Amino acid sequence: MNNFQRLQQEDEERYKPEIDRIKADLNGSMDLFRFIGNIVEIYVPRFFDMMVVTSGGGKVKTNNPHEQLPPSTGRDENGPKGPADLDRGIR
Amino acid sequence: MKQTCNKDMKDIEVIHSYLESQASNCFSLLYNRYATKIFSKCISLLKDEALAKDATQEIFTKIFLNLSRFGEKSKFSTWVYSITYNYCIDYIRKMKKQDIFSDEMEKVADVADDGPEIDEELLQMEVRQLREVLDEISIGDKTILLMKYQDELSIKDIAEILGKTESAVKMQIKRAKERAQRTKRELFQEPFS
Repeated sequence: MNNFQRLQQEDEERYKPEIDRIKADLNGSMDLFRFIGNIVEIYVPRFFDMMVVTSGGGKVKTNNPHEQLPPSTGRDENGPKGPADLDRGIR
Repeated sequence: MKQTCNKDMKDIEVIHSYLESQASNCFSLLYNRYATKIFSKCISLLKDEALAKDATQEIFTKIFLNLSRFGEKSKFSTWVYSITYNYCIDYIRKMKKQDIFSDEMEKVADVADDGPEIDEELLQMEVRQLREVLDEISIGDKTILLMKYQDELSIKDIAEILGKTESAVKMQIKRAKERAQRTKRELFQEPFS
């Protein structure tokens, strides 16, 4: 380590408390960026869908599971159930 | 499962992990590795603690927003330092409304490297003396000496960061060393050898 690097090391020791304060501020900014990113990710596609619909286009198909109808209940799910009492079924 | 980072990972592994997972601890790790270096460079060049704080925050925001553009052509540290130096140089240029590197950097013939004795004299200064000398010399000289001796950047990297030719950088380093030695003799009243 040369004298320039020792100088830097001294400065780093000296400014450590400042660095923690800057980190707290920076985390706030990062959270804000992430929040804005999430908002953009969710609402911008919806905004364009809305524009398409208002300009006369059909409802845009979406892959979002929350916007899809549940699968219809088929025959297999609503068919007759087996006997509650197993012995009765055997006889 | 969200991939996270640990302190044993190399910079490039942390970056890849961060880009995949956006895990905040990856960015925190990069911050812990470079924040003090960036802050000490900013305070050394801008000479104002409040400005250096703002600069460090803005430099990290730039790094955060441009991390996906890091091309891995150079070391991550070189990329970080180039953002730091360019930020400070631009700020000083705007404030002083002039280039911090003198015209001597333009149109220079190819310069031979200095002998090791000039480096030795500079590198043998005590840290206390070096601090005073760096405070006395121009920002341009100080910047280039920090790049060369503190960050150990290659001439090619320095030339790329400053947007100058390699010959111009060599010339600036040579002159900066001479001026630093002269300043040391003036400050500490040493007879000329």
